[in-house]
Amino acid sequence: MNEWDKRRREIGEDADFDPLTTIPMLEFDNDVLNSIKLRIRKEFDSKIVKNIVVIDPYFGPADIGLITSVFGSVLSRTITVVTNLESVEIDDESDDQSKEDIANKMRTLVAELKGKQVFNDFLIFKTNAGIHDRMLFSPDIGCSSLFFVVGASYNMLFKKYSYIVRVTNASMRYKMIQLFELYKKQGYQI
Amino acid sequence: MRNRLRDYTLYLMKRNDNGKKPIKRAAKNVPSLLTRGKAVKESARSVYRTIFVCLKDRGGFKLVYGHTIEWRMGPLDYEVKIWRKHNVDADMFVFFCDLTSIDVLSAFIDKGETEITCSDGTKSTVSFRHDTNEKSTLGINSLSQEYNPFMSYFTEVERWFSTGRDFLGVPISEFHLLHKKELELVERSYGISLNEHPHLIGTFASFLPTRLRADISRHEASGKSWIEFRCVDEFDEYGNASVEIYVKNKNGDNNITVKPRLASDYNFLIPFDPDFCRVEIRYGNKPIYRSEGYFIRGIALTLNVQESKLSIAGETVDRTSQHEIMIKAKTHE
Repeated sequence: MNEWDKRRREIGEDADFDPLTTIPMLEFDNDVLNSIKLRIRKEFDSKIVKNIVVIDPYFGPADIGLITSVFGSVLSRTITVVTNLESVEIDDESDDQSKEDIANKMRTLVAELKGKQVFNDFLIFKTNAGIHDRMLFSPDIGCSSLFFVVGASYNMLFKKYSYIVRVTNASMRYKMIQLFELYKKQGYQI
Repeated sequence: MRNRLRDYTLYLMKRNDNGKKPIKRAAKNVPSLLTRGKAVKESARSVYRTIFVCLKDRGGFKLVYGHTIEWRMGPLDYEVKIWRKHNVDADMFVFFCDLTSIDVLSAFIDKGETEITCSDGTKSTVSFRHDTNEKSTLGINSLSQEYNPFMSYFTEVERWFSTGRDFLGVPISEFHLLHKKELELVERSYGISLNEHPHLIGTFASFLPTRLRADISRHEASGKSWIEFRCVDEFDEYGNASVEIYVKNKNGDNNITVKPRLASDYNFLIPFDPDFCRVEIRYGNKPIYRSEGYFIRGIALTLNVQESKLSIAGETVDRTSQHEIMIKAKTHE
């Protein structure tokens, strides 16, 4: 291998640039929230994606709007959320809401989504298994590039310095799907 | 992306149709692309389309990336005769000019520094460090990962670069992240993606395209399948050059090689379903064209069709429906 080819290979491997592996709050755009939302939407809209999985122990009613604005752009998708219902914030009003109140609030929003036919379906599972890491992926065939781990709950991603990292390791992607199935098995749909 | 420069280059690809006999250029083996420029400039009008992407540093400019393209001028080509200076963003600047002589660049390579006078009257000193150079050729290969300013020309290239992996004291793999925004703006304006090709950072290149465009296509009618070969020798330089076309099927167990001359269009029958094709053209012993690729068997289109706007949970969403369309070519296997 000549010196130039060696240079291209080595620097390319070190650089490994990906606009969706980032710390959103460090992005240069003034409107970080919209910039990152657009990048994620563009990435998912570039493929035929029918199923999207969101795993977040703190997923709450406020996140439904965010998920809708990012993934509701394309008709006929099914969103599946797995959560521990650890969210204690409902519209930032109080910190003593019961999990059942949170579940009710989300049921109302999901019913509204169904009424407006935004998604094919919007499923929320409360799992009893402990969730720690936030994940976002599509389990569809041909969508193996759409696997991400996220360092914070979605509602905090644009308020605190945290990361989004694309998972390129096939074994890890398989584990994420296994974990998703386990969470569903140890929980129930609200 | 890089296609912008390619499109621009395609725009430039016009045959010399001013009624005069095009000037022929002999193919020669000379030691350097930069010195070879001197051999042809007296018999054909070429310019050296040169661009410097620079970072302003302590009063001077450090070359982040640069190249020159030896470009034979056609009747529709424009010319930038004086250096232009463009502050892309922050400390990132771009200088560009069509040089009529290679001497400035030869001195720049030798001394590692040059002073240029821009159209606004300002003088700028651009410096460049390298410790090695290599020559190679760029064929037409859709799978290649290498940066090539041309989409349809076989190109000789000589590159000057440092064997180290640092640039201005920073690992190159991190430099492009530190200057991501500026480099994105360079790409938008000039079609050179240093984020996609970070190995170009800290390098200078000289490109010499062979002004020959070949087109190969597969046809089928009345139960027969044949391949058409067409070639445009833009300045009628390569006369009776020898062509070799190799075609094979998917498994490689059926293949055919034909050797027509460049001067005429050429068709040949194919008794199997072709999948891959390679074209090589030589003028004397010198390769002047090489392309390889697969025949298109299908095109997958994903269409996002705008449907409506929707407000939900305080968010407004533009909604689209997705459609997937596959256009398939006929096969007769």
